[in-house]
Amino acid sequence: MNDLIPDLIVNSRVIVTCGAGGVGKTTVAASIGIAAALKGRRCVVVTIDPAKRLADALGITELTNEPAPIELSPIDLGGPAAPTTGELWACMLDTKATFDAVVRREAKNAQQADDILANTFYRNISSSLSGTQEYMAMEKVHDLVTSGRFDLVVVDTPPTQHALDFVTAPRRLVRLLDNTVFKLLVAPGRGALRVVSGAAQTVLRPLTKVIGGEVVTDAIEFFRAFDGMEEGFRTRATETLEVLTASDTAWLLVSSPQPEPIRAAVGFAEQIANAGIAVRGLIINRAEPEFEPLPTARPLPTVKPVGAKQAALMKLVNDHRSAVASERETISEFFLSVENVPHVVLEQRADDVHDLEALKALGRQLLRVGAS
Amino acid sequence: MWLQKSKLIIVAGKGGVGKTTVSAVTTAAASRLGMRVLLVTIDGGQQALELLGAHFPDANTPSTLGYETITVAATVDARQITPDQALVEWLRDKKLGRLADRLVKTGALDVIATAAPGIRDILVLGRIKALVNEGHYDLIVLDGPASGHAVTFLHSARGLIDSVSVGAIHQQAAEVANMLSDSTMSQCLLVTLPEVTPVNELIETAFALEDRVGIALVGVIVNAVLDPLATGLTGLTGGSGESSLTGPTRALIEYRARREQSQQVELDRLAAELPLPRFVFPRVQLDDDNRSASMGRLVDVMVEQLTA
Repeated sequence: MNDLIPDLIVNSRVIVTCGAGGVGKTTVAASIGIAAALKGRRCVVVTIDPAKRLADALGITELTNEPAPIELSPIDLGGPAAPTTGELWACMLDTKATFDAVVRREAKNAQQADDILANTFYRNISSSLSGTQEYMAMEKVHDLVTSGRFDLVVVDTPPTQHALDFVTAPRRLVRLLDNTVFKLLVAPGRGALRVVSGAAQTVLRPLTKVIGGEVVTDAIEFFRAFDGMEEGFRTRATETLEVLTASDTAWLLVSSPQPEPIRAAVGFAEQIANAGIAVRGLIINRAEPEFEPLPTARPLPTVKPVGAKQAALMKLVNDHRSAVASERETISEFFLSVENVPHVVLEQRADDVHDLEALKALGRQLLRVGAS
Repeated sequence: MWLQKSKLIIVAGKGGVGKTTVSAVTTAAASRLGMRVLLVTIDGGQQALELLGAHFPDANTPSTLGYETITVAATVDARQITPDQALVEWLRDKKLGRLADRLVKTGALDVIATAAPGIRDILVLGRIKALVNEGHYDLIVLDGPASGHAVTFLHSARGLIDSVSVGAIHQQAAEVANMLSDSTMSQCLLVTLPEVTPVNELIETAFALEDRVGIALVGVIVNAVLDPLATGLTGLTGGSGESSLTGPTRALIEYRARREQSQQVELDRLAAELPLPRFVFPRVQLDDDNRSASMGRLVDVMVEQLTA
């Protein structure tokens, strides 16, 4: 028996869960958090899922950008006989609030920060630029890790096509901020749009015709307000990347045993490996439970009357068997492509997981299940 | 039959509920009903191609899907329309090819997309509108983005009309908004699983699409519903008589019966809270060994429900 999750919980500072949409990442991240608290760690779970589901499941009214404590009874934490110092906290990423805080920190003065925060183009970056959410999630993680308040930060990532968005997002934003065309526009001495350099004009004039002047003006004003802050952003991006690639940051893949999420998990594993980060484990969530031994053929002497009910029973047994076989086959596809990644299997429960009791049961299961 | 009422069907639902499966099945079902169909994917597309390839095994289906249209079967084509490609292509159409190249090279494509949020979405929809207008297909099926994003995606036209008041992009947005609100042009097919969270999210998405986008909703496909196999067998697990079962067999029946029951609860809730037609797709296995048979079964189910 291999102790993947118990080991990671004790030896990591950050656990990042990634996987395709709909595989139960948020549920898995929350139960890892609970498992960590049971093991005596001070743990915070950061979710990106705006649905109120996690807050509901954790039994609190709402999650905000600031960590809130989750009540676990002493029994859950080992009981009076074995008290632990475990804590569970949770917060939900507020991309804009996090970005605003970064701007305030990096700005030369309050005036510069105010100018940027009021700009339309800036508001678009924080709401619409792809990768910004991922970047701000990592900013949040960096903050939580360096605050010293927690032993472990568990990150529930947004469903994304590319796991690498987390690694490339900071660079992408820096590239946007460094954009040469717009840099020309904010060069010292250049005032309004009409006096920008000839080179910039050749780009701007057609652009204005296509997307409208007001939009271009907003962008120019943003780059002007932002002038001088690029260096701070670049330094910060580098620091954030260091947290992601640190040896005590564990990247975990989560997948259901279906072909498409498994394919996505293989893709994530490859992308993460290309970035020089090793995947530490795969969690197969919601696998069909096995019930063995099941009857293999008729007749079933205990089932009477023989006939319709027996046929129905055999249909059920065969349906279940083929589902289990198909899932096994699908999971084995992962290991044809990705080697040396331990995995654990969490079985589908008869009822959906949507309250704290179910999450606790899942957390205990994570501490118990053997990995292979 | 709703499948023949519009030129475009947009398939929408939360990540992981089986949008691509439903898109591929809808495409194959339309083809079986004698229509000429194009399946469009926004990102990926590998899975859609695999599913169609398994369903039309005699056709010489290419192994990858790109921006060019490919032929999957006699009356079935498929292609991708990715947002960045749509933006570059559109700039070229506007005789701004050199600008497009330069924007790609300097990374300023992001600057534009950030300055005018929704511009990529508009251009994807604009490209699809052009395909609809060309009239080469009886039906275009769009494997849409995940539902949180579906509302943003389809709302992008109205958003841009407000924020960009003039210029070519304003014109494009207005045309797309018209297409989406005209039910003879486009309709939306929703997909969910019979589970608490996907059903909650679907109900929210359905109302948002109707209120904010004004697109016609044809119905909900409830995907991966377990056949009610255990419900008639629960009698066998009670009591201790000769006909009662024990051990793993009994545990399986009890487990399965509870799954079937909780699915029924969600199906009932959906019926009560969302007044739209519902179509039930059985749970099937889509691994390599079962893909072809499963596609066949789903297409049969869909054609049967369409022609009922």
